[in-house]
Amino acid sequence: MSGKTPQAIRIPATGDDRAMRTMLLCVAAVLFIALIAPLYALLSRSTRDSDGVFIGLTNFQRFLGDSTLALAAWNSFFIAFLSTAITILLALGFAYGLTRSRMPGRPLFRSFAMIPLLAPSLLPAIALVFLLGEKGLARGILMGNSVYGPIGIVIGEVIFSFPQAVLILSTSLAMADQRLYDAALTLRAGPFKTFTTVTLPGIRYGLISTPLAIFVKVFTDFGVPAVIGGSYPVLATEIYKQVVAQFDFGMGAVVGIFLLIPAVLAFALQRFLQRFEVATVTAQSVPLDIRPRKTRDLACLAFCLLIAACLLVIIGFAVFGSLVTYWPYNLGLTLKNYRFGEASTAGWSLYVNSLTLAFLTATFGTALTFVGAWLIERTRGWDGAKALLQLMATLPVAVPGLVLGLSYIFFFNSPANPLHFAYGTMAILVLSSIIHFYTVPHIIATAALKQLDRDLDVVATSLKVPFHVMLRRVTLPFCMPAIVDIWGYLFVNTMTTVSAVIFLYSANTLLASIAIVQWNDSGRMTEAAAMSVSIFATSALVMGAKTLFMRRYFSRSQAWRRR
Amino acid sequence: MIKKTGTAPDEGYLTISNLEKYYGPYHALRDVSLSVRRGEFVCFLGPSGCGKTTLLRAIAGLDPQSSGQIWQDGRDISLLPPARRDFGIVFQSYALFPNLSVIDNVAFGLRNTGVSAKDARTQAQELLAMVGIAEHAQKYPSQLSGGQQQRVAIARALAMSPGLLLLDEPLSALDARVRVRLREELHDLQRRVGVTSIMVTHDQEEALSLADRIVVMNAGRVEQFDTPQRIYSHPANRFVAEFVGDMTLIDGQSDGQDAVRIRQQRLELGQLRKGAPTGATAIGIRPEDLVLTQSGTGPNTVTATVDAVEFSGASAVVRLHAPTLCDIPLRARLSLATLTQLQLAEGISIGAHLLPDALHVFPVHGDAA
Repeated sequence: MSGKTPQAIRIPATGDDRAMRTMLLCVAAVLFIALIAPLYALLSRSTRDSDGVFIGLTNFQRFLGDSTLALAAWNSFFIAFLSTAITILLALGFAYGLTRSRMPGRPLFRSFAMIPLLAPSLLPAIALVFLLGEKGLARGILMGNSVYGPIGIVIGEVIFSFPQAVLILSTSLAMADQRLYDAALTLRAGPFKTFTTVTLPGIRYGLISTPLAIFVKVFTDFGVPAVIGGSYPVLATEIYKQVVAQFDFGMGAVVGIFLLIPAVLAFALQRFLQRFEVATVTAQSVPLDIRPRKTRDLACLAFCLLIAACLLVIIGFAVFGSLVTYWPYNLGLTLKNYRFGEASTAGWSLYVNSLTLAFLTATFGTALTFVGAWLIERTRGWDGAKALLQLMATLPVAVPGLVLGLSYIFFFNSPANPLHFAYGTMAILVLSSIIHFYTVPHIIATAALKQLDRDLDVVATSLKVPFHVMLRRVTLPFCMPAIVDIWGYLFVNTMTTVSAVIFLYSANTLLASIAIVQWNDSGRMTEAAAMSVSIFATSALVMGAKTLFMRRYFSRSQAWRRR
Repeated sequence: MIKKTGTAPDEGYLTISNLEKYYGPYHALRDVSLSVRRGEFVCFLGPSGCGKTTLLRAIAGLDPQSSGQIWQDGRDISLLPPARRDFGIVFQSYALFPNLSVIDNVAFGLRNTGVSAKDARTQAQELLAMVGIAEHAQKYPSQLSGGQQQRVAIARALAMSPGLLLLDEPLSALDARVRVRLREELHDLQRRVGVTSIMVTHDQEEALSLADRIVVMNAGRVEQFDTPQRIYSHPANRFVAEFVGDMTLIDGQSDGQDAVRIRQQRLELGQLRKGAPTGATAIGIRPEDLVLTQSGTGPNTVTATVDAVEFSGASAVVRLHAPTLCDIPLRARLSLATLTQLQLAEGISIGAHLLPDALHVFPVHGDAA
């Protein structure tokens, strides 16, 4: 191309443009300070000794030479691989039942599959201890093997990852074009041929991206191995030991990087594969028309019933354990385990801390992620800044909670940092939680904003309506369902997370989920179960309230959505 | 505040001079210059990708030009952001605020101009009455039909009394019957309100029936800017001739005086067609200018064979084969009365008279252009 192609002339910014660009810079600054700078601190710390002197790759050599850590790395891979394989198999069958069969109770089964999302990953682990532990009621089925170690971790991780896998896989299975199946039928393709030529290619992307997501989730999870890992070392628990027990921050940073690498690779691979994803479902597509077929529907029903029963048993056992007087000697039922004063002097204030954190994270997080997405969609010009913000908004999904928490120690705990005062406060827990869960809300908000015709903003401009009036009177009401979704997502995830906060709490900000880990370590199983159940019940209540609120809100102020 | 980059052109409410627009290496607008008079209704007509929407968006400031100038009402708006320009806009997608009632949609802009809520509603109600949907004021957009929604959009665009009304394919999403009705109403409304209007369309019938003048565009260029009648009767070049209306084009030679020659056939040019280019030319005739006669002789008349008769309601099109003239079929449009009178049937021989005043002669550019 000739280099003298004239570019578009520069049109001066209006007051609205300047205001939006300033806000864009502010959101970008928050993400830079709370994501990029701490990650840099982590990378930099991995090349220093405990006095902060640069020692090159010495820490990495120590890591590779340390037999426990090398074993932990291998174990993490093994556990993640096995858990992913089992989860995908189970979730694929379940999602198939939900989307490609006419079995009864599909909506109910879908809700059942989502149950583990409402509980911390600690809850299934604790239930497993009651069920299969040394004194567990059904330990016989392990045939002498201990549940502490790989068996317990894998079962716990499968339960923990199951909802997410079902969500992604059922979405890809539901999006299919009936015409392709009709064509296969008229070409006399048998069921197997149809499966390999129509079904599989259609869910190809889901089949690649789901294992990637699950692998990373398991690889970096702290909660399950912390409760049921026993003496079986994995990277997620080793990083905690290096930092909290041995104060070896340099090594902690190195382990953090080893947790980060697979996550970033998976993220990059997924983005790369996305480019090759061709939309097979277009506006002309015909939705799937699934006719009843007795054997298939019965098989699906049996399979889904089995899985749902397993999930219910797990939840049931956690509830049961939380009500037991003295496990396992006195199985009489009591509510005394819910008086947390005995387990910790902080008592119920732990729970209140968690509630406060979840509420603040959800509220500020919703505002930040929505405004960020809105600015990327609507700011005039400044394409470079928008692309940069978009990148920073999608990055957190590739950063494991443990790694983010550790990097916050390095960044905010440095006395040279003017933000040092935030260390050990609720504020830093809120900030790290918002950043940790940033990407999904950003995607939800972006999708909702993209539904809103861009021409509406042109019309508003021609009517001389300032951006904030347009935002308040049209954009926000239109996006209200997405905003409520984001709030709920952030609340529940913050309420249940361990890994994002385990490095950052202080004596004043001890959280319920962390107390569960501590109580479990000190043998207070029943109280740990009671706290898990409390968190679970809170999440379930909030999600129920959300559904009710949406229903009432829709009937009152969203009448315009009806025809 | 407004930079003086030249002097305001004397005539014209909206004047565009030497506008160029590039999207990367793609040249979307090529030296576009035109002037729209106050109160005029102008249509930008052209095939998709011709730059008509790009030009409209440049006028609104949504996609700024790469170079060139735009003047509106004596003021250079080339560098103004859209918010500082003076226009109302209507889109093909209606673009109504989905969560606001019809009346709130129309009053949306008024509320920010300091008008009281009550006055804004009164004004909005009047505008709704003007576009004929006063009774739907309290409904939401999703409860209205496409035609009703577009009326709301038009009322809303007029609410701020803009100096310029921009319409981006406003009728294209409507079904045929509603489209014709709204077209007529838009025509009357624009004449009544007197707002200078620019409408982008790819539908020539729309442009011909609505516009005071039409800008025919192709590949980023203005091919012709004239009244609908002139565009139809005197297309400036082959592109316009073929794009607007139906025309059969045949290669021939022009003597540059008063006649053209196609194969062995000499055709007289009428008084209106004097001054045609000399040499290799394309000679065009519209189907309605081909008169069929029982006698196959006379000046400008050739013998033809009827290939097919296509009945199309109010008229019929006869496809003819005239070997002395060309190998492509000739097309003649006849009224039903003529059709009956001539008693046409496939295969019969008939005379085809090419009206001397209706022959179009265009130079053949070849690769030299």
